[in-house]
Amino acid sequence: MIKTIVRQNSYMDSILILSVSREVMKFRGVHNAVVVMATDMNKTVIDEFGGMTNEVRTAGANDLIISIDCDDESVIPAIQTKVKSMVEGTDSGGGSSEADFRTLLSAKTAMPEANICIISLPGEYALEEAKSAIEKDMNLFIFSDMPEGDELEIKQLAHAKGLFVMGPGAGTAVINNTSLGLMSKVRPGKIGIVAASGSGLQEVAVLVHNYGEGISQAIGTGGHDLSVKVGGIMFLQGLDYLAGDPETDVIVLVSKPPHPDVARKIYAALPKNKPVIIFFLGGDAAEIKAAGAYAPRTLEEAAQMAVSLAGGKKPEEGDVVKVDKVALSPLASDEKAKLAASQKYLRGLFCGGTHSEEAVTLLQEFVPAMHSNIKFGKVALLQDRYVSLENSLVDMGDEVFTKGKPHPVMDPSILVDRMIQEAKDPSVGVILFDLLYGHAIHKDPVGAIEDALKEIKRIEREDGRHICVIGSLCGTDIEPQNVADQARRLKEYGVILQPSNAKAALLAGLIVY
Amino acid sequence: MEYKMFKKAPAVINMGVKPFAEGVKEQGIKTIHVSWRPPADKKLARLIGKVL
Repeated sequence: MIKTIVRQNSYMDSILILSVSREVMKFRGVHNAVVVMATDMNKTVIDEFGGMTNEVRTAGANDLIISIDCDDESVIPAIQTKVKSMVEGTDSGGGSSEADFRTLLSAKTAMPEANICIISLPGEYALEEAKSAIEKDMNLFIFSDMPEGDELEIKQLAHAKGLFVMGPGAGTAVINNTSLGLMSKVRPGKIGIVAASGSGLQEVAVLVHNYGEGISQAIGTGGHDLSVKVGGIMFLQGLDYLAGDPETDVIVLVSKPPHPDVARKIYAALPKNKPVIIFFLGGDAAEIKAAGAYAPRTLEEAAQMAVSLAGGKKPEEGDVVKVDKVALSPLASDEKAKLAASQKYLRGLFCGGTHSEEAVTLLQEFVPAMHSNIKFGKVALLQDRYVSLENSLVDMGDEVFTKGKPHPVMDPSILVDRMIQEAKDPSVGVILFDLLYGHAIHKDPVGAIEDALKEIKRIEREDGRHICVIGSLCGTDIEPQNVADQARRLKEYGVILQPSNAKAALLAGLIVY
Repeated sequence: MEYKMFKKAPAVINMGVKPFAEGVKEQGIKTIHVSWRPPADKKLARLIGKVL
């Protein structure tokens, strides 16, 4: 049976809602539960779940709806008590002694020097708050998604005032050595980044750090900035700043290939006084070189080139993918020898969206029968995103998987069931994954997927077959998490680690190829 | 154009999920987390937004 509870005036952010959902699901006799704020869109979710009531119909956006599929009503009073304590716990600030600010105005009045506003509100409210922040001369980091028309509007307003809008859909940035969003901690240095890709920015910045250099500024623009409608407003503004910034010696630009009109604007704006490296994932290298920039083939090569140039050296010539494949061949042969002839396929499960796209770009060139849940490159689209076919690369940040759950970069436990599912498939020889580190990210990403690693070991023993598990850790030695210890724990489960997403993907491809 | 964002250390106001505020705060950055609630009346909110 479906029972629905409405709690009036109990607003919670998405992370707290998730905690309530987890707690409700723990009650005996509860099979499923949907916990949402009573927005119009969420009411349709409740309706589809079968929990629509008159009380839900008249509920407002400040009201919390808990719809429960349970054996009988006897469990409801205990759930109501639990939810009450959780709502009241958050209302009192969770034990924090901080002042309680309810509006942007009250916060800005208390801290007039505030110059960056981070917004991760439901999309329908993000626009008004963003405009209000721009009026108050604040730069923006917007995690929420927004329609392109709204994005254009706020970016034009900000541009006119010399303010930055990072996002909508921004995941990462480093401003004056402060990491924003789901970003790694990296040392300050001479390399500046502008990126329309969260995990692309992070991978380059992390590898720059790991190769010994650092980041002057890393400006994330959100994935839609380089659309023809938005026109690259913030990408070009970021490039303009870095071109004139005395702290920046080398500039790295990261994106999917922009609209050709926007690409032309970027090429025309390239500075002559410092080297620029352009990584347009799967883009036209000849076009980039003709514009006078370097055209790396992987995010790792972009970082290597940047570090060489910052050190006054010319980047190495040659095809880095070819070189990597030769270097990885002996390890690939050893692993292949451990697999049965029937274990022909690889399954990649990615937390970072650009990590999955980079893997697609690299592997589609030499691995046949490739599928993915993302429309990218030449691979076939998976009809059922929950079921892999042959060789599959799956972006686990796909909204199909993240409904009511945090993004896998924040909490990679979303990978667990899928990793086990892939391991159970006797045709699978290789499982590939990535974990990302930094502020606002899970305190123990390895712990979050540990159940899957244990289960893979059990399946190996039971089925008498080896499963090759390959990972890449996007993190530095100064993260809030201890990345070296995370690596040690993964190695105890037999996971083969590679220093970059590109190398991990290439190794996986070589084993099954 | 002068871009003021880079002229001084960030001071951050966070509206939305709390971990973003905590992530900045643990780096020693001045941070205020706004305990945001949706306005009861969206039209009124738009008007207030314009006034403020």
